[in-house]
This record gives sequence, structure tokens and C-alpha cells, in this order.
Amino acid sequence: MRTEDDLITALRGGADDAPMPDLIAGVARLRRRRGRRRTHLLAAAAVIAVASTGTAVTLRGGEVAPAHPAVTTSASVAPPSGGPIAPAPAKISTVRAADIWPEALFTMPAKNADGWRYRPITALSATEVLLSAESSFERAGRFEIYDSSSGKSRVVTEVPKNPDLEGYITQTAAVDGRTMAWFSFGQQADGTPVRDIWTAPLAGGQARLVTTRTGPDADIDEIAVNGDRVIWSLAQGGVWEVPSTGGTPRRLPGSDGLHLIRWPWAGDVGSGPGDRERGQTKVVDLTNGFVSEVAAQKDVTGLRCAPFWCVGRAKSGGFVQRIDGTGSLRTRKLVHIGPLTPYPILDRFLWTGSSVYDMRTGRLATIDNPSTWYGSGTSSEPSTILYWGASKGDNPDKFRVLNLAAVPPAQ
Amino acid sequence: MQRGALFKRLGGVEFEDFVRARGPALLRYGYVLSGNPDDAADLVQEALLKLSDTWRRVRNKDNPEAYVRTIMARQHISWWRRRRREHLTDDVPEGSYTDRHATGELWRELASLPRKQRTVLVLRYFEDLPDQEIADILGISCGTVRSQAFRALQTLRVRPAMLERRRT
Repeated sequence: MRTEDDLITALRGGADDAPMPDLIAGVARLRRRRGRRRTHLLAAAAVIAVASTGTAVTLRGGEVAPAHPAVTTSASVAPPSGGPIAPAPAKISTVRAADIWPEALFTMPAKNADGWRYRPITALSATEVLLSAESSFERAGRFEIYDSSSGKSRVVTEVPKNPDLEGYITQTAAVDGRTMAWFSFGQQADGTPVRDIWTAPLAGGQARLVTTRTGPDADIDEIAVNGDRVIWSLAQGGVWEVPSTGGTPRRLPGSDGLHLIRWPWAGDVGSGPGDRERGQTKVVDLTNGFVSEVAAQKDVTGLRCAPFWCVGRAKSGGFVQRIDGTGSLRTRKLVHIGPLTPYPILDRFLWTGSSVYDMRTGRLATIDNPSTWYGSGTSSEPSTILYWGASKGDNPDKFRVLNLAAVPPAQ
Repeated sequence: MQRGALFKRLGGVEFEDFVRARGPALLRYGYVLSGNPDDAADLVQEALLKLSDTWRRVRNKDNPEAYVRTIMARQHISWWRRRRREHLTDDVPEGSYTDRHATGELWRELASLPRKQRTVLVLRYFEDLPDQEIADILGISCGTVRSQAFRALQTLRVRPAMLERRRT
């Protein structure tokens, strides 16, 4: 028999393995989803109407055809169908991020010149980070870019307000190297949800209102920008696009049930509370309609592929595989794969909060975090910026940043 | 993005301060309740979302942390009701029962308990609360608290030596 003291010891010992996600970001995300869910219920009829779906992005004639014949992809990794397959790492080796990726780590101010708190969005290059500077708590007032090579930041644009709407808040942003796009959330006096979609040149300049969506069409979950188009998906599934210069938004044919992951890829699971356990079953390249089916294993939940490597949860902890089912790995070392960053970052990295796993090399890079928290960038696509306090406590003057876009290619 | 920058009505930074200060402790509590890192984070975030809605009132009148912990305990049990079918297979403990006293093993076996029983144990042995307070938090009778605890201890083969001392 065991004693009650054994039980107390087991509970306290178990608590030491508790996850430490960024709760502020998590609660904000949850609140955003609640807003979505209300809209979702209002739009129930529309949801039922889009529930039947084929597996390819097709035009009306039924032929598989490019959704964007003219666009060039900004993606840096090979699509699921192409390229030689390197052998998958057979086991995990633990290293320090500071030892193997010194060029990707830097320290930056946690506030801008006006004392506004920075919130990283994502990396633009090996040295540049796109930031939201908050004029008041969680309220983006300005977008800025910090360059770690010069140690200086510059303004991209002031974030416009809309006094006609209640609760006007800037939501998810996306970048394509030249332009940033984001949507803002608000509601009319009668409660009708409204989303304004904005763009601004990363070189600096005024924000431009591209389009406004209301009612069921306003329930945006993810956004992307690609050259002359802004693309977004809805919480209930379905991908839309509009020219960056404005015009009439168009729903991409055959995009029923799809959610943007990272341009040009979309998947068939959303980010709502009910989707967490559900595994992704396919990856769709929106530029050509190519569909890659995910070869999933039965005991794995929450599988997310973006687009070639997949991550999920198995009973024994974290789970990694390629989309075709090869290279699978189950390990307790990745047990904290969390809701912060459900998709692989750059089709390569997993962020557990205390370490980064490189799926291509099998290395688990631990971070030295003196603070009590950590975060990841807030971009719509999986952010390449991971950060935490550079000093003890909760409110540091400086962030320590790991820019995964600065990590050299896997050998 | 400013994912849901929605604390604007809540006295803003004060709420954030609370989350930053007490978040780690709440996550530990959530993890002990659920035994699963994702569920722990969900539990805490759900409870904090509710807290944020009533922040001004709770901040001034009550103990916000006790409020959050109560929400978490109740939420955990109600989730169990809702997710019962999905979680059944996950809740089978790994490995077979043995008579070893390893606390890691005991931790794993906690996953075999129904959530209500687990919650009662957590409130009693992790939070160190008297049975009457547990009953108030969970909205059940003191007798139910004792019977739930008794069954849970029996399943885990824990001898209830301290039971009398803890009763109020």
C-alpha cells in the first residue's frame, strides 16, 4: 500500500513538469476565438452550405487548375511533391541554441522610443524583426522593424483607428517581404462583426484599407499577402483573396473547408477549440491545386503539417513525421508541443517553450531563459521569432530573441 | 498581430500583472488537475478569460486567485463530462499495476481516475483544503467529497491514514 504522503509527493512532483506557455497571448487568442464562434453560430446555414468538399482546388469545369496562375510563390521550401528526401533523424541529440545558432540569437529593447511595449510579429530577414508597438495594453499603435545588425528600429506605419466601430483592435498580420497585411476587428453598434483588411509597404508608408468584411464573411482566422494579392481564410473554412489595390473579394473555387497555414499552403483544420485534437488530412498548394494527403497514424492526435513535416501528439509525448508517414519519431522530449505554435515553423522547427527541435537534423536546441515567461511571434503564418525576457522577472527592459530565419540550412 | 487585444475594459495592465505573477502557479495547478500540458494550458486560459470579464469586480471584492482556481476545478469536471468519450482511451494508465511506490508511477495512475475523483484528490492533497471547502468549491456535499476521495484512494491503493486529521 501507498501512503497519502506518497500521493502528495506525486502531485507536487507532477506539477514540476507543468507547461509554461504565454498565458497573456493564450487568453487573447481564446477571446478572439470566442468572438469567432459567436459569428460561426450566426452563420450556421452558410457553414452547412460549404460542408461538402472535393479534395482538389478546382475550377468550375472540374479540372485541377491554378487558383493563381500568375503568382509567384514566396515559399522557401520544396512543396511536398518535390525534391530529394533526406534521411530522417533517428534520435534526438540535445544541444544549446547559443552553441549551434549563435548568429540567430540577439537581444533587443522590449519597448520603443515612446516607451510602448513591443510585441514581435515575425522575422523579415536574418536580422530584421517586424514588431507591433503597443500604445496601450495589447493595442497596436505602430508597426516597426528592428534590425539586430544596427541595433536600431524604424517605423513601418501608424496603425489606423476606426472611430465608427466599437472595440477596434488590430489582429493578425502577415508579410511577404515587401508588404505587410493585417486585419482589424471591430463591431458595429448593433453587434455586427466587422473586419478591415489593411496593407502597408514594409519600406514605410501609409496604411491602405483594402477591403471591409462584415457578418459571416468577417470571421477571418488567418491572413497572408503575396505580391499584388491579400489572401485570407475564414474560421468556418474557405479561402478568399482580393487585389492589394482594392476591388471585389473573390472566394477561391474549391477552397471549401480550407484554412491558410502559410502561403501558398492551406490545410483542412482550423484553430478553433474543437479542432485541437483533430488531425490534418491534407495539404493544398493554392497556387496549383495540388493536394498532398497526410499519411496519419491512428494513435496520433492534433497532427499539423506545414507542408512537408508534421507534428502531433502521441500517448508517449510528442510526435513527428513526414507527410507521407516516413521519418516518424515519438519522444517525451517534445511532450510540451503546445497550442502556441501548432504547426512546424519553416517546415522544420518545433517550439516547446524551453527548446527548439530541428526536425531535419534531430537536434533539440535548449534556450537559456532567465525570465519567467516566453513567447512566439504573433504572425498568421508560423512565426520565426521566439523570445523571452533577457533578465529575471516578468517585465524586462530587453527581449532575448531567437530568429529561426537566421538559422543556417540543415546540412 | 494583437491577438484579441481585449483587456481594454479590465483595468488593462493590472490584469496582465496578475497573469504574469500567478500564471506559473496556476499552470502547475492546472497540470496537476488534468495531467496533460495542453489541457492544463486550456484550463488556465479558459479560467483567466472568465476572470478577465469580471476583473474589476473580482479584483476589488474577492481573491482573484481563489476565484480562478474554483473556476478551474469546476471547469475540469465539466470538460470531463463533455469529452468523456474522447478521453476514455487516453485515461488508461500506461503499463500495468505493480506494487512499487514510485511516485512517477502514481502520477501516471492518477490518469485512470474519473475527473471528479482526481479533482477531489488535488484539492485535498495538493491544495490542502478541508473537505467542507472542497464541497463548497465543487458544489457537492461533504459526503460526496469523502466518498469520491475514498474511491480514488482505493483505486490508487493509497492507505487513507491522514483522512481523519483532514476532515473538518
